[in-house]
This record gives sequence, structure tokens and C-alpha cells, in this order.
Amino acid sequence: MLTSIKSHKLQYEGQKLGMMYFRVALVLFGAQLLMGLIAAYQFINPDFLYGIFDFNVARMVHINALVVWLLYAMIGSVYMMTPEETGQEVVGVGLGKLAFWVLTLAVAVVVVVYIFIQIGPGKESTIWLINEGREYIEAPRWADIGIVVVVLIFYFNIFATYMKGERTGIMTVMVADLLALAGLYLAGVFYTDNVSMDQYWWWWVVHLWVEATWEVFVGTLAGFALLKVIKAKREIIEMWLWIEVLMLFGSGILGLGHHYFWIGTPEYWWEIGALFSALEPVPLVAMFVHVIYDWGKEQGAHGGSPVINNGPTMAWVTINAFGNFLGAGIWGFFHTLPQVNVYTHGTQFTAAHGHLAFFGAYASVLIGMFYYGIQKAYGIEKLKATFNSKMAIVLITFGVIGMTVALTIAGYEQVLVERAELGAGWDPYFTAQALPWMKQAMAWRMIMGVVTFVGFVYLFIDLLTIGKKEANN
Amino acid sequence: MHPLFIRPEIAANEFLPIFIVASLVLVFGAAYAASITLAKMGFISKKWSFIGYIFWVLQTYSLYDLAVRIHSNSFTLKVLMVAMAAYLFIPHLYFRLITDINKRYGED
Repeated sequence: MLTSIKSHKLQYEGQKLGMMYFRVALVLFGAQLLMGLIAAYQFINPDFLYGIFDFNVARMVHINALVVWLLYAMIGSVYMMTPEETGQEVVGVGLGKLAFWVLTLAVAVVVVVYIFIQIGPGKESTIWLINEGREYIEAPRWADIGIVVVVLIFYFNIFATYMKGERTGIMTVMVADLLALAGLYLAGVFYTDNVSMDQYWWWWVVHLWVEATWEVFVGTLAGFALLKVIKAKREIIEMWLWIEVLMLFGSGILGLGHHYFWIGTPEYWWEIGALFSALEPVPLVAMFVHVIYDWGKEQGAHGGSPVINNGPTMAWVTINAFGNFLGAGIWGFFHTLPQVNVYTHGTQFTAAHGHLAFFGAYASVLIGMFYYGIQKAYGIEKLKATFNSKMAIVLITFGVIGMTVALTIAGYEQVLVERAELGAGWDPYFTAQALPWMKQAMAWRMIMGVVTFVGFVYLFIDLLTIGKKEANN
Repeated sequence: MHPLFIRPEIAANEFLPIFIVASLVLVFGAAYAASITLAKMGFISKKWSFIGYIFWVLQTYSLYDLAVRIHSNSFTLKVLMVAMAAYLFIPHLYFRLITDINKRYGED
């Protein structure tokens, strides 16, 4: 069915490869939401699939599918933008296609193992063959090694193309960022028996991805999208980008400290974590203003009539600017300072922040890139939003915000009852779980999850049909 | 034994104000940056840009209030206030750079 997304109008083979990544990303996005719904329902009815497909397994597949579809969409986006920025066909595109199939086969095998074998005994063989038991990056070690090889191929292709073609500011930032992004994965490949040490390195991957390298990636992608969709001025885009890079790395790298508060690391991390975490929202404000500035200024600069040649992409990039600020900024700042975090840590506040930040900061801009890919693939000069595009935007955004609000209420109840009143511990945890505020919040989270999934169905249908429909207009 | 971490005693009825004031820090911060941006872009008259400075004052007060509510020590409080003073200049620095870029490369 996904082959109905054609790519025959694409000028470069590298971009066709990008579309291949987008197709798999879309399927994994759907799988992620489905697993999320199962896990959400298990919060309401813990007996559902108990002993067959437990909550921990549904949650594991939910969050791993999230990371993998985002990575697929990121790789697809880079293959989509590289030929246009460098004016050069991607070097080693045949190797790239081979790597794509190897990666996709590996992901399929890992998912089958997650679903049917699920867990194993506490032995080395489990780490090698089933899963490593670390949130977000649970892939067994054989798959880790495969991922490293595939990413090396991907990076070689992009770097060689960059060196051969035009070296724009956007591509320079992207190439440097990808090196850091790929290199950091290595910190999550080895496993140590000491849990504190393991967590120490594990955060290098998770935090330094989502709060440093991925944020820079998104800034670069948003800059590229603004260049293409509203024809923003390159010099301004690149100047903003360099400032954002400076601020994101300036605050994001040592912001790592907010994950080191309670895992047995030295006390100085409290001060470092508190200070740099407090600074982390600043670049998000800058990114927000950047998009609004470029949109407003560039539209005015072209004679007053709006020049948006891809409505859905622009809508998703705008959602990204707001969502990043709200999800990563406000919902992150809520509970990032150690004095507050000691009460909120591990409550549903974290889940609320995670849902809105992953959607606002990453999913939204990557969905925007799907539409950019469709526009190029069908050779459409001006891609307008359809009814399905609008329904997808409204329902997915409303659904995710609804889930975030519900989880925030649940987290707030946990902070008050489980932590502040009862002093944390085993019994307080279950007392808080049994109260109506928690149960009702979880029911609303489920309802909003269904709304999000319906929005995804609209998105899926739209991506399959919008290209053909608009090309015929 | 030296305690690893002394949990600040925050009263149960203090949590909601803390979460709200933490949000206001960022909301007012974005509003300040947005007001200056809109004034520089000509969407609102420059004489209205003082509203932005009101947002900055509110943001500074919110951050101070947050720091007090969560029992920050006096050094941290000073660092946060210095950061707020720096934040006052950031939007102006951006637009100075943008103006210089436009001068160098010409307006479209």
C-alpha cells in the first residue's frame, strides 16, 4: 500500500532512498501508537493481556518504536535535503540502499523477538540476543553492532557528498551534528554490571541525543524547511542556526546533570544540573522566535501575498516551534530543578513531559518532512493542505496535548499524595495509584490516546493520497 | 553519616504555585522575546515595545519567586538574577546581528 507513495519525479537517487526511510518510519509510527494504546489500557485494566503481553513489554515496544521511527525519519530527511543543499547526488547510494534493507530486516527481527520472546534470564545471552533492558535503546547487542555499521555507512555517504558538493552552513551544521549523534550511540552499546555506572553512560545517549544533538538536528531541519517552504533568506537562517547551536550545546551538554541527581554520582552534579537545566529553555525560545520571525518577515518581504509552497509542512514546522517550547521548555522546566525534582522524579510528570516534548520537538517537524518528500516526489509546485491533512494536524495535536494534561494531573496527584504527604515508598505509591484523580487521569489519557491514533489514521491516508490528488489538480 | 541530600521541606500547598510560577518564567520570557520581535518586524508600533519590558520584569519576578519558594541558596539566587539581566539584552543582540546581515547581503 505504501508503494502508492511514488518517487518518480525525484531528481536524485538519494532522495528516493530518503522516501524509503519515510515509508518505514510511517509504519513504525503507527506501531508505536498501537503499543501505546495497549499500555494505556493496561493502566486502567491491569488484567488485559496479563501473562501474554504484559505492560512492561507493551511499554518497551512503544518507546523503542518511537526512537526507531524518529531515527528512520531523521535519516530519510537527511537523504532528502543533502542533494538539494550540496547540489550533488548522494555518494554511495547503492551502499545506502543495502544498509537500508539490512537495518529494516534487523529492526523486524528485533521487534519479533520483543513481541514473542519478550524477556530472558539474567545472562549474557539475553543481552546479546533478546534485549539489553535499558529504556529507549533496548536493542540486543547483535543489533547494536548492526546499527553502528549501518550508521557508519549512512555517515560516510553524507560526509562524502558534503565534501564533494557545495558546503552550505546548514549542511556543515548537519554533518557535524550527525557525527556527534552517531558517536554518542556508542556510549549505549557496552553494558556494565554496576547500575549507577550503566545509567551514567546510558544518559550520554538518551540526554545528549534528545537535549543536544537531536535539538540541533531539528533546528537544522526547520531551517532547511523554512528555506524551501517560505523561501526565507539563507543568511538569516544560517545566522540563527549558529546561535542556536551555540546555545543548545552550551546549555544542553551540561544540562545532562539533571539526570545525575539521584543515581549515585558526585554532589557537584546538583549545582551543574540545576544551573544548566535552567538555561536549557533559552535556545527553545530562540528557535520559537526564529520560526515566527522568518515566517512573518519573509511573507512581508514578498509583496505581502503569502508565499507558502507547502501548507502541511509549514503547519507542522510551526507546531514544532510551539511544541518544542511547550513540551521541552515549559514541561521540562517544571521539574528540572533538584529541589522540585526530588518530589517529581519518576512520577507521571516525566511521562507528560516525554509525550509533549517528543511530539513537539521531533515528531512534528519530521511529519513536516514527510510532506516535503511527497511534494518533491510528485513534482508539485504548491502543496495545499487537504481535509485529511487538517484533521491529522488537529487530532494528533489535540490528542497529544490531552494526554499531556491528563498525565500532568496524575503526576501532580503523585507529588502531593505519594511524595509530599506520605513520604514516598512502596505503600504510598499504591495509595496514590488507587485514588480517583489517578484513575480518572489515566482514563482521559486513554481517550486522548485514541484521538491521537484517529489523527494518525487521517495522516496515513493523507500521505498515501495527497500527492496523487494534488498532482492532478 | 553525612546525609547525601537534604530534601527541602516544601509544604503540600506550595507545589501548585511552584509549578505555575515555573511556567510563568518561560511564558513571560517568550512573551518578552516575541514582543521585541514583533516590534522590530514592524507588526506592532515600536512605542508598544515597552510591553515587552513589562513581560521581562514579570519574568524576573517570577524567577525570583520560584527561587525563593524552592529554597534556593543566596548564591544561586544571585546567579539567576544576573542571568535575567543578560536575557534583557539577548533579543537586541539578535536583531543587531540580523540588521548587519541585511546590510551586508542586501534586502530582498
